[in-house]
Amino acid sequence: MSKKTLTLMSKDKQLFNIEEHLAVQSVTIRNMVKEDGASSVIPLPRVDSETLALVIEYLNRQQAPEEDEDYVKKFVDERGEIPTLLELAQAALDLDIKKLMDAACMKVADLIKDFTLEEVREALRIENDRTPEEEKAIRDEFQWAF
Amino acid sequence: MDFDHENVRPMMNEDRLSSLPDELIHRILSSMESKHVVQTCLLSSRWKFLWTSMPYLNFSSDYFANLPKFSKFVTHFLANRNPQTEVTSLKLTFHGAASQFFVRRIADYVMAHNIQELDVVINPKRHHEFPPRFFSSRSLKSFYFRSIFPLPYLIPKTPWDFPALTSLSLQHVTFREDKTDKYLDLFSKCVNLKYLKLHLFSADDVEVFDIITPQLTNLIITCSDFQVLNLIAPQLEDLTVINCSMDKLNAPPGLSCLRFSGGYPLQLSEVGFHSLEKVTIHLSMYRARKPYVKEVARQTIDMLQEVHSTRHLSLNLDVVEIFKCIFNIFISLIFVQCISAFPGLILFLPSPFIDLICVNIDICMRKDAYKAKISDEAKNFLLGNSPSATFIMDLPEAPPPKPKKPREGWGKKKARLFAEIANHATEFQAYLEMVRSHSGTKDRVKTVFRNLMEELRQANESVDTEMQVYQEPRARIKACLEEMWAMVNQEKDEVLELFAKKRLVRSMLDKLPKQQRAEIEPLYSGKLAESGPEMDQLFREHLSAARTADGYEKYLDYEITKYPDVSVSNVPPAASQPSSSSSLATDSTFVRDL
Repeated sequence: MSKKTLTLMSKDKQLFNIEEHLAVQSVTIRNMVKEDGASSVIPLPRVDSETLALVIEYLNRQQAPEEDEDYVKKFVDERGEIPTLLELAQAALDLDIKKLMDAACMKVADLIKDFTLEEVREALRIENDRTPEEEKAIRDEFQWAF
Repeated sequence: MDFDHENVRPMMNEDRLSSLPDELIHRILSSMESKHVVQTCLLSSRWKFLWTSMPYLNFSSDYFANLPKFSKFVTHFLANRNPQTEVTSLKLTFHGAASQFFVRRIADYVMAHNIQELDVVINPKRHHEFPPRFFSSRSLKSFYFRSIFPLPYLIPKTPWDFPALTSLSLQHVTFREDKTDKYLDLFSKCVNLKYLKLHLFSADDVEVFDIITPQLTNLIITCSDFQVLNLIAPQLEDLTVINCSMDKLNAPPGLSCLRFSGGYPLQLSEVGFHSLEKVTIHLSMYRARKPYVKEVARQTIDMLQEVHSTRHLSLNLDVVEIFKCIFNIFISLIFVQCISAFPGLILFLPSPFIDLICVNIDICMRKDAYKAKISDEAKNFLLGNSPSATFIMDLPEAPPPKPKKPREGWGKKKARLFAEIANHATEFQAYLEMVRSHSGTKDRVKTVFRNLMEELRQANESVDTEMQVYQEPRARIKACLEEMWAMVNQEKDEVLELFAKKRLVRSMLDKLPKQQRAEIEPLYSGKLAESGPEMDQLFREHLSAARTADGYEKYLDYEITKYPDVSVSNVPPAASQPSSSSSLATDSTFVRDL
């Protein structure tokens, strides 16, 4: 008897197959399956194909439960680029795969922890929309934290 | 700042993290200390108030120059935080008294915000009362409470009120101050507790310590002391007891897995376990080569009889590793040898085990495991009633015998030994003179420290708002610490070597046959005895120097926080200057006190 397979569709309309019992590690997919018995294709309009491929790789892992913590750490370690990790975290959040989201976020935190303010802005592509004077004002407002 | 060039970038370069949901940002910030989290308000307008709705709090007094500053920060943080946001988790690390205002303030706040996970690390100073508020919550699910030192502090001794708690871990908790308690029950109101871990938990002044937990399934107790430990936990499946001292353990009959490791066998209550699946018993004694005494052997057999219904049994042939680490003494006790050493004890005893599937004799890393033998009586005792059980004891092969050296003539040997002794004795004298000439390390350490304080004072006077000014004092403090410890460590090596040399000469003399010893000993014994008091003095001086350096190090650890490390901090230090006048006052008092 063959196992039931689901098809996931990425933002850029690529299709990915995955066995249902693995896919339902995602709480979002589990709920969809429960609701409508999972129609043939599940669209994931916010996840691009590269990220979805990573998520599928993670869901397909064959790990004993006690090694799982180490596996997910290693999994994100090997994808140590901040933009990739952020996409992965976002996808894991949407799909409600808590372990993967936590691990990706922790890895990002670890990468930026020694950064200066300007480096954090650059790494996370945050645009500084304040003038130096405004920044000084914020500093004064929260002077108890500096 | 010019960001114009960024506008021409394609759209994919938008503020990626800022476009992420708050939930994700909070998760990314969750491992950071709260002070740094607040500092992210500088990043951009969107970030100004992001921190105020963080559900994960992480306060640590380590990031503040002193406790009043930490307390002030906590007050501001909580006052500015969005009160609508619940607190999912709190990690609190602080030193000093648990009765400080901020401890109560934080406890009140998080308990009122439906805290679920609590992790408290304390570094207590004296007998201070912990706010009872920390031990009562309707929402708390996981609680990790540990102290860095085993100092007694006062925590509530009435049952802690955590109806939703499922996981609890306590470390370095001591109940010592009050000998009047006969019974102690802390957990009976934790009606949903499933996992409990006690490490370095001392309740040995209490006659009976009760663990009354209707839902508990896993219990791990390590390095803890009790008189009688009473487990009223009908759901308990897994029990691990490692290196604990207890007179008696009353375990629930439904237990399925027992792991025990320790110096002496455990006295188990006679409950009649009915669901035992796996039992592991590792015994060790740290008194080298002490034979198994009969009383202990009897207790061991009693313990085995209590667990007779198990299906899998694992016994060790080795020492328990933790003991090896602590005492670093070769521990010579083979569990199976206990049963083998007193065959009389078991000769007429039928095997208590009725339903064994597997017996495993654990060899671990014993060097002499190849010598182990298990007597027929012992084997019969274990397996007599379980003929089909598997017996596993994989002994390693014996190492190849050492090649024998040809014997040298006694005359030659004697001359060689005498020459060696003379040689070592000369070296000992030379060492003694060297250590003597190097004395005064303490004064040198003091000088280095005073020079540093003077440099820092000058640096403080010339301090301006430029941030690189912080780097230099930091580097100097670090260099000074290194220099101090290099001096102390060199002295330590020399002193230790000196003592080793003396011992070597002494032991070589002691090993000589009587006649030769009488012949040569008078040459050295006077000098060796004479050096005793001086060496003791040198050793005391060294300890004193080490203590002094240690004291300076603690002081400088604190001092260094005044010079923020701008190379790693993600936010440059505030424009405000360190208050040089006040710190100077403390510095000079400190130096004068020495």
